[in-house]
Amino acid sequence: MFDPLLLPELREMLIENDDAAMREFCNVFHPGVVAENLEALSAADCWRVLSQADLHRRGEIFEFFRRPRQMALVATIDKPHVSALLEVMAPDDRVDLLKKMEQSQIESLLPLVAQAERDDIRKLLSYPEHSAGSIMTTEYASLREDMSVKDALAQLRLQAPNRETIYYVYVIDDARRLRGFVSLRKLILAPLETRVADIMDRDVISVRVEDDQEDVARKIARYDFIAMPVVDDQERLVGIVTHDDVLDVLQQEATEDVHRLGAVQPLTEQYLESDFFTLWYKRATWLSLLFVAELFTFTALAHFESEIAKIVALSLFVPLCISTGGNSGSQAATLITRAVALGQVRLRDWLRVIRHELAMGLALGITLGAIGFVRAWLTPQSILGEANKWLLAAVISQSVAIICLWGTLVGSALPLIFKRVGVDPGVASSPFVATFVDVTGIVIYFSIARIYLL
Amino acid sequence: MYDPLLLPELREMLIENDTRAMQEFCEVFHSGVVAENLEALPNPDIWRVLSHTGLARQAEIFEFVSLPRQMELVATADKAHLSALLEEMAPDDRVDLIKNMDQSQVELLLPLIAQAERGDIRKLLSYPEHSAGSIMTTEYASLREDVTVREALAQLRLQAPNRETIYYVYVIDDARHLHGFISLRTLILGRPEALVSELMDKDVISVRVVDDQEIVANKIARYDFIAMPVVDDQGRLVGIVTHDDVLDVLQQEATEDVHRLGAVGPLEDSYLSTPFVTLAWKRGIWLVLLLVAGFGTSFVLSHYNQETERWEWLVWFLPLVLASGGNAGSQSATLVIRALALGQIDRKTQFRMGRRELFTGLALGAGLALLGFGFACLYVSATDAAVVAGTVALVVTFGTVNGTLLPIVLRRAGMDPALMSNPLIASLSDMLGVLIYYNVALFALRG
Repeated sequence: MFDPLLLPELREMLIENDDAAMREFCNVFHPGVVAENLEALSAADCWRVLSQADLHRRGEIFEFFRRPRQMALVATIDKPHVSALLEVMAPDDRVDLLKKMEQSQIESLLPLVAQAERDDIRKLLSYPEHSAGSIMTTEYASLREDMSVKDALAQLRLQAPNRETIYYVYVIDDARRLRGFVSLRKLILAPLETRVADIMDRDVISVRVEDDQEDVARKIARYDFIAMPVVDDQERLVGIVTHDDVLDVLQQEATEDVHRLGAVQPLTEQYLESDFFTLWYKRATWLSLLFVAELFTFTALAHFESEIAKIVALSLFVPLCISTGGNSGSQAATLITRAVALGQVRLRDWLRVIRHELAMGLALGITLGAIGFVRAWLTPQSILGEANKWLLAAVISQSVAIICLWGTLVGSALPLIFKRVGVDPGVASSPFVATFVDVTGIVIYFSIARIYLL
Repeated sequence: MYDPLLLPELREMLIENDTRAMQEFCEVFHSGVVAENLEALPNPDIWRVLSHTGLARQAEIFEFVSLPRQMELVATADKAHLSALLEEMAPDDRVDLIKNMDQSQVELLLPLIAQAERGDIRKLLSYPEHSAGSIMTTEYASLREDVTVREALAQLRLQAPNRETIYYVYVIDDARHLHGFISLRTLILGRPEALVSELMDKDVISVRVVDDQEIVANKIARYDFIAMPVVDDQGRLVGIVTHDDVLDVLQQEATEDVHRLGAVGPLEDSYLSTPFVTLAWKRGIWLVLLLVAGFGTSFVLSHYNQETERWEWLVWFLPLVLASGGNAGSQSATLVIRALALGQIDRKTQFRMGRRELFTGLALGAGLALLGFGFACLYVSATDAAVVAGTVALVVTFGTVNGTLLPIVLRRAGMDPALMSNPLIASLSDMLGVLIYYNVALFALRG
């Protein structure tokens, strides 16, 4: 991606067996760039190149591979290599990888990993999916409050090599209880004799280990932090969540929301990497469900069989009328779902939302109804048969207006109802709302037609 | 939000005019927490509380106030104080605010601002919306390559107070050409006598000032950076984009995409604070467009009036057939649009994506056709049911192909692929669906 010439050069190095060049390649570039270029090579070639880097660097590069690639690479080498790699990887990245592996594979690997790291892995694995604990890392920098700034800086130099960040440092006591927070910026600006306790922030914003990752992400985004401390229920520091993990969480959550809106069960892999069957399954379930629900439109239409037979022109406007409800419903559902996801609308705002949407549905309905009137009136008499064009126009405009209002109300209420009963509001996707409104739309349309025309 | 007791305490302080407590409130808590609590107060009270702390701190707190509220506060402040506050604010935040103000208001304020800051404001204002330049800040820390680590740390101490970050430091020459990058971590670990040029990374990943903000955000997300340098077309460092701005960009872009997908013109404010008229306009315009597309469906249908009269049951299955195509198309469009937004698809892979969607469409269409056939057989003859089933299969396949191609075509044409919203895909596939349905019926039933 970054330099199109790197990859050909890399292939050259492999052909010529140029170990020195490979080592340089691994060490000079950003590990993300190295990983990107290696992704294009076969697993065996990847390891050839990686083996030229020292173990620590290898771990750094490995963390930048995408998950499916990591899995493929791990599958092709022997266990001692994997366990050595696991030992140097960042705790959060390695747990993400392990979570994807088979239980039996993990059990055969773990005994080879050093005791301390093994405990760390087991602990992180034990936190529930989507909790703060599941995305945090345990490699944070920490200090005691009675230290001088000079000692603190010396301490940080010792800690730096294997800490995720040393820019945010947490101050803890003997029981690991979180006492305060100090940034490296503050430390290097302070006189060397000052005590850490005198310059630290005592009001630390933290999250609990069982908090939802989305809450953590939103807090970090809100306060512009590089990292945020995670504490257990005894206020002991157990880890930190860093800014880069938060970006990943927010991207992932946004993707889930978007997929749900399009009536696809969220994909966990990238689109091109999901296998065909998974992709089919995640779409087919929703599509079939919607199809079965849509069958009721048949029942509804068959019910108005005699009306259709009398005035065939009525059927011309069925798709128009019902799609209006689907469209206005999609809009309302999308707006409310996103507002709920961003925390802008809470359940207790429901009355405000419905009032707001009621007025909106009326305003939009009247607009569309007026346009619908003109369109129906312009229909040539040859198509209308015996029907009176003024009456037909009245039916179409009123149906469009009422169905539009109805769609808006359904679209705004469904996400809130889902949220209330503990279902993801995103389930109220555009196709879902459209289907729901289609059936009821037909009933509304023909009931109005009955009043005027029959 | 964070401590529910803070707000009542704050109101108490205001009533008792407790200046000491107000100063402490401003200075002890995180500026974001202070801003959150202040937002619940009326404007004059906010200014009163803020006046108890220094200007620099006021600016820090002010930056955390939401943009619409910042605008309200600006309208109630006197110009001299406001210009002083603007001087203290971070360049990127201040430009965001100024962009939202009236031109006349800005022209009144700028003369009161110091020359250097004014130049900076004008420069940042000149970058196009959504470019790297429009979200960057000019307050970056920089060094020369021939200084030692000891000197570098001393210089950083001097720069620190008014730099957005000192954790990432950029190495530049006299002409501000970007030569390298060094993190504070590397500096702290380095020998005091070592030269910066020995320790720095020479391979700096940077973006251009005119690059789209989404590219910048995806790059920072990819490489886990705290900040990323922005260079002009001569490779000179002009600013940095920081991790927190990237979070905002990603949230904002995701919201835009979601709104577009739902056929709503993207909202700039939160849902509840968007004025009724704006919201009605952003929705109405799309609804009218879709209604007109719906006229197209009616128009196409009117051509098949005779068939409708002859085979009444055709109409009964019409919504079912049309909805299947729309739903399948929405799925494809959603997947493609999101993959495009995340940069997972480029020119090379879009062909693979197209082929994949075609096969998925066929598989999905076949499944739904079976379901439809079984159902239709309950009411109509097997031949008639086969018409319905065949149409469902075709419509679903066409729907997925449309849903895949249309966003890609929009992207090619330089437009936002998310404009191809679910309702729009559904409308287009409705029209196509009617055509397919009646032609299949004519072909099979006329005999």
